[in-house]
Amino acid sequence: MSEKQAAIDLKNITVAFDKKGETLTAVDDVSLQVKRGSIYGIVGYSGAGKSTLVRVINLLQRPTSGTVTVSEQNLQKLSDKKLREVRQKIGMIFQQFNLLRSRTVLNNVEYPLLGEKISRAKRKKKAQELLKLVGLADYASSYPEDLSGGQKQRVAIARALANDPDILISDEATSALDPQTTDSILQLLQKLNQKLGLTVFLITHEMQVIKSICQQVAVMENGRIIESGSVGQVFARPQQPLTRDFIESAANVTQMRQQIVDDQLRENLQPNERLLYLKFSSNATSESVISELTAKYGIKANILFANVQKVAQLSLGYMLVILSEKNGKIQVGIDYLQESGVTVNDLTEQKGENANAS
Amino acid sequence: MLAEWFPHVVEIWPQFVQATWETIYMTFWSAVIAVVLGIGTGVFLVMTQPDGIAADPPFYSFLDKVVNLLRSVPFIILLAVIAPFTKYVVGTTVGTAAALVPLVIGIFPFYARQIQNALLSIEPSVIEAAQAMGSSPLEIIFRIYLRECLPDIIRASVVTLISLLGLTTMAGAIGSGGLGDIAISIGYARFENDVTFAALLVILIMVFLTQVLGDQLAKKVARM
Ligand SMILES: Nc1ncnc2c1ncn2[C@@H]1O[C@H](COP(=O)(O)OP(=O)(O)O)[C@@H](O)[C@H]1O
Ligand SMILES: [Mg+2]
Repeated sequence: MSEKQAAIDLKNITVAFDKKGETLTAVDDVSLQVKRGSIYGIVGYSGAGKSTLVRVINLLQRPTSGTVTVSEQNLQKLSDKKLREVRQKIGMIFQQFNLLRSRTVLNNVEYPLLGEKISRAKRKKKAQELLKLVGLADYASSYPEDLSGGQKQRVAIARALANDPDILISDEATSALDPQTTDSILQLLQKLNQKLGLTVFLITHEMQVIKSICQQVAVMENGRIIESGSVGQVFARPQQPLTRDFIESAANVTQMRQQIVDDQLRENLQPNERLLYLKFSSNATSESVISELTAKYGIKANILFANVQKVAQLSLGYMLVILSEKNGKIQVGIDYLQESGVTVNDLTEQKGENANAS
Repeated sequence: MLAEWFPHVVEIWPQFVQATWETIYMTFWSAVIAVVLGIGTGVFLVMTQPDGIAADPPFYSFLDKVVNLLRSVPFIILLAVIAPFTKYVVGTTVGTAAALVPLVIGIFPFYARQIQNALLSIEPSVIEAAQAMGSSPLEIIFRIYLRECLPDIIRASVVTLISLLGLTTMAGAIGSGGLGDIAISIGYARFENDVTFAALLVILIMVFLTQVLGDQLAKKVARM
């Protein structure tokens, strides 16, 4: 990616905090580029350094070292006044919404325009248009405390758009919302991305969020980006154990694993049975492969769990299955699966412990 | 009826009315000055605290200590201690104008602390959101801190005003004038208990009115 295309360009960003004499490196030598008009997501567990990293983009957090370039401007070289102008072009939304409780919804959306040299009427009109855009035209005179979480986040989004920003940063904007509301907010972000050409940079601890709207993803752990790439590529071929964990949790595979332990599946297996965890990528469709097993090799397959997640035009399948066969030919079937491009993990021998499929 | 219940008050009626005005005068002007100083100090405390929008830990620590120190001086001693300073500022140490100096110094640290606590009720993340929107420190003070906390600030002002009324009566001890002065120098000294009681009654009415009006106002500004 050339410098010109990048809406956000972070180079070797390190943020260290001094904690009672000890240095805590919250962000550790992170470099990334976000293409203009794209949706870029960072996923990581709590404490990974995501919020710290995202706050570097508008210099709410000055990095200990590294350079921050936004829309071809090195922000670290700007005066305070100039930096404030640039910040107006970088909208930001948060998990806690951060609305002003003493102002109406309309006045909240007008807030970023208070310092602008535009007439009252124009300001009001702009705010009303934005409320319409986020689907809250009827709530202009309500107060934040009268709204639901999803509605509050919509107001926050409208407010973040007041100065026609090029970039929208989201720090766990959907983490306080239920799954349905999360979906509707993500849809809205996607709409804004497509309609306004807004570059969206979001951080989350849920792979589900990345899966639904991001094009690029980076996985963060202990202040470092341990893996990144296009969403399709990372979901299809995760390189790091943590990335796999995140992807599997998005497909409810984590729940399935718990089921294995709870139901004592391994303990109850017959000698001629094998417990397998299978992963299919798009070219190997699960049903045909499994039916072949029975037809060709006389192996019975008892499917305990199956799920398909669609990511960036790929469909990725996950299946937990018990194979049984009388004449000791199971291994032939397993070989067949592998030849067909299925990733096979044999969970049969690992008793007790959590299955460590990969 | 007034003559029957409050014979001595009627005797000194013009003086009593004047004392009432003096109390109102002292309370009003010391409140005006203390509000300005107190809000200023409260805002500075919040801004300069270690994670404030204009963090300056040494200055914060200094201001914090000054406020604590002033708050721990008993008012009756403060009256005596700052007499030379009062003489320097006002030119005299007796009378209502002279009483303003100790009243302001006695009350504003108390008020500043309450303002500080009110402002601290704003979530740091709200301030951060304002910074992210490009608000300057001054805009954050006026459009967020003071605006969002207005109901709390009004409630703190009511509490302070009521304490201040109490202090003005104590200032009577150094001849400030006002209802406290009358209650002591006439009611107490001459055993004319009806004067003391009448002064108390007027002060209670003032407290009551302040409380009621303040509560109404706080309710009204909670949503503007
Ligand atoms: N202002 C700060 N001072 C000291 N430590 C901080 C500060 N902000 C964040 N940290 C620490 O940095 C680490 C990363 O925090 P954060 O960026 O909030 O992670 P995440 O958003 O991924 O949960 C945590 O250990 C946190 O305690
Ligand atoms: Mg965070």
